[in-house]
Amino acid sequence: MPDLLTHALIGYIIATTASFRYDWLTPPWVTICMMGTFIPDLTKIKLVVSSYQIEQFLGVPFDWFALHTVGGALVSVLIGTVLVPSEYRTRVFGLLAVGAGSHLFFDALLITTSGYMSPMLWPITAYRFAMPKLFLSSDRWPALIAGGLATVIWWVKRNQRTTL
Amino acid sequence: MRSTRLLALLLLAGMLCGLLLWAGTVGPDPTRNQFPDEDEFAVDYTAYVGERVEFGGTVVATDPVTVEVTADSGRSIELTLRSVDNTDRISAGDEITVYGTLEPDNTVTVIETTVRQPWESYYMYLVSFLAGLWTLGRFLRHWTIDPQTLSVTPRKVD
Repeated sequence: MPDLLTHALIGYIIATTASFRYDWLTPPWVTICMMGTFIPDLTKIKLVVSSYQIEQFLGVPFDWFALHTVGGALVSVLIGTVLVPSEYRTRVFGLLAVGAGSHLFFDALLITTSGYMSPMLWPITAYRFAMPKLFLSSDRWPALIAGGLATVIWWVKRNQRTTL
Repeated sequence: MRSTRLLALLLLAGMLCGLLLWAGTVGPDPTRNQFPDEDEFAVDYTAYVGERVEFGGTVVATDPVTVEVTADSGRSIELTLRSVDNTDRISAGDEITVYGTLEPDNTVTVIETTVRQPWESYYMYLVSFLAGLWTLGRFLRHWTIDPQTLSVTPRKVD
């Protein structure tokens, strides 16, 4: 991952930019898109309880990496969608999916030592495709750029509200 | 409404558990560029000698570069790295990920390394935590959880 701050900022940028076109996309909905960006990193639960510990406990194969894939993210997005009243489901599904999708997309651009992205297209394929090495998750500049962009968009949005 | 939602949630939770168990059966496979890591070779080293490996560890010495790797199971071994570029960028305590070939006698011939200083990881965890607080704060301001219907609803929709 780039750090989660970058991911959340990207979610904010995408949703706020879309709000110029879609009037219903008010701050509560922007929040939903930001929450979507957190979904794939639920896999970091492995830092607390490792896959190995769960395998030992259950006695069956188990791996948290499934959460950081299109398959795991889709089911997670559906769980979020079921939690809201039916009239909001389409919006919530779309926003969570855009957030989670942007997370996986930008993670695919991360530097891995071998140069192959993590197998995030699973279960469609577990193949690790060769990717350009763009940034490290601990680099500072992605958050700086995303933060700068988010500030500009926030400012434009704020002025739009006051002038309309 | 509540029982329908509960049923849907149970079904989806079941699907998610299924994916997590299925994922456990996906092992390393070099034809998919999925290389064995410390979880494999720390347990049965000789079986992986000559293979491409990709793993992470902590630098414990720099001349030669020696890395301590710990498998999920808690077993740890020390590996000496050969053919490392720019060793002066590496210092003891750094986190390092290594892509290379496993050789006999706890040695790895390196193709590529990525090095991260400890403070860079702390930075990453700190800003990620702040992002979590920011988003949680927004969620609590705009949305409310109704335990009666097991649902999340907007406080006010305009």
